[in-house]
Amino acid sequence: MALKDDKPDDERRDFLMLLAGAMGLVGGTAAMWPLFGSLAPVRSYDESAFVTVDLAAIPAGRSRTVVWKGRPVTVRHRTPEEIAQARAEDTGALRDPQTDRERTVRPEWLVVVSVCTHLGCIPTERGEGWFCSCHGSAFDASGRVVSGPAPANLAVPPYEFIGDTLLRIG
Amino acid sequence: MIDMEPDRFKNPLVRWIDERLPAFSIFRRHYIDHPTPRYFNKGWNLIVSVMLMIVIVSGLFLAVHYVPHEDHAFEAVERIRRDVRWGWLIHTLHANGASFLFLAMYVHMGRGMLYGAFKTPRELVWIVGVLVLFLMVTISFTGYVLPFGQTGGWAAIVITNALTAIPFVGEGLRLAVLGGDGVGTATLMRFYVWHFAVPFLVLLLVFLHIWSLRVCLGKKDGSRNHYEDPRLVPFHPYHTIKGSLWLCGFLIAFTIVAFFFPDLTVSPGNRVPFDPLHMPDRIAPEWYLLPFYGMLRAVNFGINPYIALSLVLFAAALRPFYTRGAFRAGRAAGLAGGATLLFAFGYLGQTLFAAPFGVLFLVSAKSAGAAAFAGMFAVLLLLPWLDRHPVRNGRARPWFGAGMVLFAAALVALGVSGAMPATAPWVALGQVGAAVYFLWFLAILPVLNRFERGGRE
Repeated sequence: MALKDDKPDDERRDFLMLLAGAMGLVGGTAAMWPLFGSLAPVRSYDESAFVTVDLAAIPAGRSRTVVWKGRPVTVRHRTPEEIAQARAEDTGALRDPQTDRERTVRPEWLVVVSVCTHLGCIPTERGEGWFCSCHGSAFDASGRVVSGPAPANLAVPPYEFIGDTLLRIG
Repeated sequence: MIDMEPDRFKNPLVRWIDERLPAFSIFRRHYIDHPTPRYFNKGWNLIVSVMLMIVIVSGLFLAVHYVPHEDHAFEAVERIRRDVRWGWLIHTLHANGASFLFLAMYVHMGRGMLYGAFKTPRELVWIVGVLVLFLMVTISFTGYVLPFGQTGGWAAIVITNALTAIPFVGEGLRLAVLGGDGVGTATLMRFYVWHFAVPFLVLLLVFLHIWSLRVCLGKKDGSRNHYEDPRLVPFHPYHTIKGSLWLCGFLIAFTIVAFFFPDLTVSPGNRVPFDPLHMPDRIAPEWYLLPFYGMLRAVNFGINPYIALSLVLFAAALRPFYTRGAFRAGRAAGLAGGATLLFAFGYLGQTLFAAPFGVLFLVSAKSAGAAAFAGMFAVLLLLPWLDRHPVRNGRARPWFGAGMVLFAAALVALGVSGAMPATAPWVALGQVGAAVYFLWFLAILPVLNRFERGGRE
């Protein structure tokens, strides 16, 4: 109780205050974790989602768009000229360098998520490639970005061929 | 100055309450007896407050009928417009009220800039106001998505994709905002909660805005302490009546649009249900967000080393105006000219040739666009430290006045560019607007601080 001894007690109290404050901060931050975590997408029902495409219905030079996980996926049956053109551009200077062989399993079938890698608009097919009317990005016959603000090539989803006429995306 | 002792109310019930909870005294002091200089304000503060109350109250009643679900949202809004009793009225007041609230806020802020209302000691009044503007932008954007039409749904996709430009947390933030890979029920629920809850945060900020103003009016700003002015008049009836006149005129214009042209500012695309596979030809926000959207579009180029170096040269040319160091005209002109040439080289290079300019990016086009969007708010927040000219009233500064006209023109150019297709002349117009917007804050204002004379005051 002696008042003359208050200095050591002050330091002890300062330390305890700091410790309590720091613990409170840690606890408060930890409490935020589940709150922000709860905002993550609920995945359980679409994790195994896949779609099957009948390739026999798509003639050469045409394409078909299907919905996979809420996004449009374009399956394009490329003509030999388109394949040649895509391969010719392998050697050009690309923003996101990838060869056509890396982007396809069978050269006549190009499968890409047709969502622009810039801000998520849907590019339309123009000539042998794609053009996005939102901000003017252009993509070649392999879905690779050739101009405009898009930072990356159109994404290639996981897919496999089942026999000669079926394609399974996902 | 009116004395600040507790008031003695005649009504015994009011007096009984006021002695325990002085709400009546506070209201009387701040909204009735409050001494005010006779020269200030045309009532835009009152107009903004009333419009805010109109959209909040009408929104509460719309919320009763809204269903945040991808299969029902569009129908729910149509049901409000067609079947709910008085629904058409509440809906048109809410949708057009947002337009007129933004109109009033922009005029209020423009007058704040022109009359130097952000200068010492009222910096926080301005900063809180800019925060309110930012929150209002997010509130109106989420509200635009709720009817789940084509324009709103695709706007949500484009804007949340812009979030991915933020380093490290961007992709996680996009998923947290959308609640999935695409726009759906989870998105509508999130946007509904934000649209409903954040306006109450805005009310709190408006309270802080007025509180800070009341405190600052009692401090010396420049040559004058408002409460020591010998010509003060009480707030009521002088300013309330004057404000009400302006309010009536504004509300007449508002109701004419709300009743006779209810879809004037609504994009027709938002009356078509959202379809995640078919993008509409035109994606644009409502008119009051067009300048922000125009900025996102104008910066369609990445920062390559040439542009980065040119920005450094620009900063070097402007350095004396920030450090108050010695200014040498020849050196500044050389640096600015070199910077401009370098910028043109870096920009044209990446636009005309894919390689090598279009490949070598320090900052991608996507990130640069998002950074420019954030920069629009950042320079507004910094305005009190950018415009440090000792003359408070911009109307006493002819060069500043001309600059304000240029600034307004830049906003219009950005807005027009945001509304038009992303093709050659419109993108270029937006780029000129974007350049003038940032030059006004970061170059013209600091230069005027140094060179514009004291003016009339």
